Amino acid sequence: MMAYVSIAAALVLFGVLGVYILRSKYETTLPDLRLSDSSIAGTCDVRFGEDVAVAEQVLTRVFSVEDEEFVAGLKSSELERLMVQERKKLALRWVVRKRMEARRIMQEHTRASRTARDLQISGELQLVARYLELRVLCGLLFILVMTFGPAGRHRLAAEADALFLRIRSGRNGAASVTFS
Amino acid sequence: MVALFLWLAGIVLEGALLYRGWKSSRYSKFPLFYSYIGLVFVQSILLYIVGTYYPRSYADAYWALEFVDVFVGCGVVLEIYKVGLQEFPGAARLARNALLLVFLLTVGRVFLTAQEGSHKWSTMMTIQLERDMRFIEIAALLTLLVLFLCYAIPISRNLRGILFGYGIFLGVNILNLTLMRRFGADVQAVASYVQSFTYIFVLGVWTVLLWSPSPHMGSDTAAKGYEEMLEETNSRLGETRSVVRGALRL
Repeated sequence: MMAYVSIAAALVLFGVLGVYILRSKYETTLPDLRLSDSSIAGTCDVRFGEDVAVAEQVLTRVFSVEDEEFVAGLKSSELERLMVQERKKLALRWVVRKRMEARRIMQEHTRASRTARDLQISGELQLVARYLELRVLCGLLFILVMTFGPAGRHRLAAEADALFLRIRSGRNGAASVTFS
Repeated sequence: MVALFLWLAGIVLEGALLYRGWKSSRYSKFPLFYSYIGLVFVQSILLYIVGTYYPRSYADAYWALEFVDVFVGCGVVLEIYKVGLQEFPGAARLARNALLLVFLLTVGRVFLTAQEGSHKWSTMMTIQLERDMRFIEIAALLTLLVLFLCYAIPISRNLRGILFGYGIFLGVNILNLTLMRRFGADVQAVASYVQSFTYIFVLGVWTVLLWSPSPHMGSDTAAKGYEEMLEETNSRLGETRSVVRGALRL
């Protein structure tokens, strides 16, 4: 057992050393793109600030069924296909951007907290847990959008609802037949 | 012939490393690392003499000295932690706790091996104990590397050289020890060559990256208190989370 653990530890060490060397090389070749750079951080803040302001509206449009229903009413399958395709792309980009935003928040935190003398381990663990939860949510949303499309989840929910109602009414019917 | 060449190349490189360390005043910056190199340098000469004049005692002398190396090698990991995180008290605090946990988790295994050895000590038992000790060092080094990566700790060229070289050395060493423990004398000759070539490579890395002092990697001091930072990050993560959850609910 210890033999396998030792071999695994050596391989992991080589892997992490490789990542470390690659990352330090990348950081030295791109010094201007460091997140600590105040000008870039400022630009990002503006971009993300705008994102927060319009997020709610964009989100409602991209993930809602209204537009899809409207296009479906035009009876053009080509237009419908094109719209679903574009909506999917937009939604996936939005999810990826949210994931990157979460990563950036954590990077900014670690860069600031590494010098904090009063750092609390429980606080760091709590943040890691929240960050992981957010990553899981983003992953889940990504899979859902990939599989059913941005508005597809509504159809899925509606179909499930209808199926549930049919089952319930079927049961009620069967029960009334049995009692009569 | 190859073995003799590797041996002499090792002694020359160790000598060069010590000479450059003395010339560039790196001793005071990395005292434990240079003590380790100094010890290995003396051992290499001692083993050369024993191998030439008392070949029968070579194996015993080798394993006894190797054992001392393992313990002094722990000092190198300690130095990586101390120098690398000296200007980052927050990350150092995390590292201390993580290293303590790693130490407690793995030290039990070493004591178990040592206890087995108290009944019947053999070369195989020495190999096993050395492997376990190297495992502790690897676990500690991995912990430090992950922290350096997560907290984007900037490291000077000199320390990067020590970290990279010692990491490669430890990885190859534990692989060799594991294979020797498993297959015994069958793989000893190959393992010995692999170890020697790796060691020469690592000495080369150290000599190049520690040839001259590297510039100091400074750090900014935290502008806010930790509580404030935590609250701010928590609320920013919370905002993003609620937007993503909203998209899931829509």
